[in-house]
Formats: sequence, C-alpha cells, structure tokens
Amino acid sequence: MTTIDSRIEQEYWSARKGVAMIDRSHLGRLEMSGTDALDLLHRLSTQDLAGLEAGQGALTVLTSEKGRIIDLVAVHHLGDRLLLVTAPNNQDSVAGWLDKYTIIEDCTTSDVTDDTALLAVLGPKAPQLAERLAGRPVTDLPPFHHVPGQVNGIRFHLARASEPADGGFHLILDNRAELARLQASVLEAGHDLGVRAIGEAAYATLRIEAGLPAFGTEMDERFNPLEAGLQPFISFDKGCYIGQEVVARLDTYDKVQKRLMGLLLPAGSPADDGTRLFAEGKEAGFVTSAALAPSRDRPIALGYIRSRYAEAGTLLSLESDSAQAEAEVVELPFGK
Amino acid sequence: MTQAATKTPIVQITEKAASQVRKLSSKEGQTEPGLRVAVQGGGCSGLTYKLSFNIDERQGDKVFEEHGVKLLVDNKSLIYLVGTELDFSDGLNGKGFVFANPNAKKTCGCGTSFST
Repeated sequence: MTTIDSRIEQEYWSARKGVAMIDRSHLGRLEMSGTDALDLLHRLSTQDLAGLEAGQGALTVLTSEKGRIIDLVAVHHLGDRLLLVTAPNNQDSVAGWLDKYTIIEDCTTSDVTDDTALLAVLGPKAPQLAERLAGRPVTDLPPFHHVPGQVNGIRFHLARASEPADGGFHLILDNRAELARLQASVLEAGHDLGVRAIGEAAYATLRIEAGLPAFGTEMDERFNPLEAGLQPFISFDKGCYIGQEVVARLDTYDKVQKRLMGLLLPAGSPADDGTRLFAEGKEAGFVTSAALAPSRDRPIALGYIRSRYAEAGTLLSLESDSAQAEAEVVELPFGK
Repeated sequence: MTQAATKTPIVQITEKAASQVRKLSSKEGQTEPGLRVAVQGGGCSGLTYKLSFNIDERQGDKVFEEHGVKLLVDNKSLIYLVGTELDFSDGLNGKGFVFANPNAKKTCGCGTSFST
C-alpha cells in the first residue's frame, strides 16, 4: 500500500466532489410476500418495522440468538411485497435464515438477485442526478424511502441509500437485461454534472472514509451490532427480536468489549486487513479494512478497538518490524 | 374406554391451566373452552409461542382434549411442541401460561421464546 493508481484517484474525486455511479448488482435482493411478511421481519430483526408503509424503507439488523450479526439489510416496502437488499452474495444465507423462522406465517421469500440489478449513484451532486432520473424532487426523501422512476422507458425504484461521499441513491431495476441501457441513461442524464462510473477500489476507499461497515470484514457473526456502530438501526423499546436479550444486556450494562473506529496509519504503513494493534504491550484491536485515500497523506483504516482504547487521539502500536509505527484512533466518519 | 382416550396427548395441559382456559373462554363468549397453540418466528431465541381463542378446526390440525379443554395445534407447530405441557403460573410474580417444552434447548429470560 504505497501509491494510488491515477484512475482510482480520478474516480475517487468524482465521487467526493461531484457524482459517481457504480454497479452494485452483487448486493443480494430478496422479495418477501404474504400477509405476515412485515410482521415476521419486525419480530425477527432489530428495527421497529411495524408501521412501515408502501414507499417507505429502513435498515434493520438480522442477529443470531447470541446477538451476533447475520446481516444488515435494507427493507423497502413496495406495497404488495417487501424488497430486501442484503450484503453482497449473502442472499442465500439470509433467505435460509428467514425460512428457518417462518413457521405458521403467510410469508414466502424468493431470491430475485439474478433477475434484477442495482445501480448506486453517490456524491454531493447525487440528489440532483437522482431528481432528474426520478422526474420528481427527492431531496427530502428520508433514508431508504423510495419512489418509482423511469428513464428512456426503463422502470426502476429509486431509494435513498446508505452510501459514502455524502450519501446516495440506489436504482433498483426490475429487469436486469436493461442494466447497460440504464447505465448509459444515467451517464447521459448526469453528463453536465460530471458523473463518472467508478470501480470497487475507489468505492472501497470511499466506504472506509465514510465509516460504513462491510459484510465479511466489519460485519458477520464475530461481531455484535453495538460493536459495529449499528445503534441507529436498533429499537430498544419495541420488544423481542432474535438476539434482543443479549443486545439489550450489552447496552444496559455497558458491556460492549470493542468498537469500530477509524484509524490514521503511519505513512508507508504495511498495515492491512487483520493487522493487530497494541497498547501498553497488550493487544488493543485489529485492522479490518485499509486504503490509501487521495485526500490524506496517511493511509486510513477501519478497525475494532477494545473499548478502553476506543477514544479519538489514542495512539496504538502496529505489529510490525517498525516498532515505533503508531496508528491514531479517530471517530467515524473521517473528517473531510 | 376407547384406544384414543387412553393415549397421552402429544400436547398436554395441566388442570390449573385448563381451569384458566375455561374462565377466559367464558369471558370471550366461547361456547366451548379451548385454545389454539402455535409456534411462530420471533422472540429473543428465535421461536415464540402463540396462544389464541381461534378454535375453528382447520385442515391439518391436531386436536387434543384434556381437563375439559380443547387444544388445537397446526401440523407445522406440532413439530416444535411434541411432549409440551402447558401450565399456568399465577400470583404476584406469576408468568401466566408457561410451557414446559422438551424440544427447547434454550429459553429466553421471559420464558416465551425458545430455540431448538
């Protein structure tokens, strides 16, 4: 991790300063239908979904009986069914988990990942582009709420999403065969805004900078949602859901052992995913994702840090030959 | 005595719980005292009990009678309820209807949720 590819740097700045587009069709998509679908998901997951209506949406965490993360899922209420957006390639696991707890309920879960597609637009000018695509104002659209959109005859759901670079929108396409045409239409509609298609490397840097945990690195059954900073998506007064007893106890007795934090790594640092961090000669945490950010002179990272060291300004040593190398703990998201 | 009458019901109810069901059924205006016992997803441990006074028999239901009370269990829920005894806990710290379910490997603190 020493230099940044110039193409990645350009992509990064297009998202930070203007608007960028990325194909995120590898996110899983499931549909839940039946009269009990919403009630079931409300009973199974952390968010209070009971009052969710057509056009609305929310993020909710699926947790195991031990209160560990199964997935962080965006739920969009489409009127006659729910659309769930899961972590990349995690739809089978989520569908199996939902199926396990569907006993007497009128609820059917189907995998629509291969039939549909998902395009994200992100950056400070994303709302302008989204308004053009939706053909209506979307500036005040609350997180995960959605509106129908149509451009050049291509129909999609446009949802406000949790994306880096000041947030963004998801264009969820009913027909995957129209993805290439939709991408072309988005580039055309946002030409004067400087919209640019970006790749996974630039996106990963933006994600780390925004402090958004990803499945497999910051989220899975090794972690609980309080450690991952997912409190905004947990209702503490709605009653039971799977894992609630554990999550409530951790919160009530302040027993969260580690926290997801930002890290400023030393310039030229060899630190990468899995690098261990030390304080006072003891292990204090580990790096989960690291990247070079064009906006900074030091590499940035996400990492889980033991709670006693999870304070901005704390210096931690890297497990490397350069014993003096120190990482600085910072709050998330990283400041601009 | 018929063969069916000698069989131990797959889902049992104690006299104390049955007495409570009779009282509540009467309050609900039911002509026949009874309960529908089901299992649904949810609760701290993944599965939770659901009781209702809807005792109209549906296809696939198993029907048990004990202490003058009719219990109906759908065939999906029955898998999780085989051998279960429904009791009633009253008093200041009583929990109401309580389940002794041999299939439950783990039960949450409030006792209404379990995992198998």
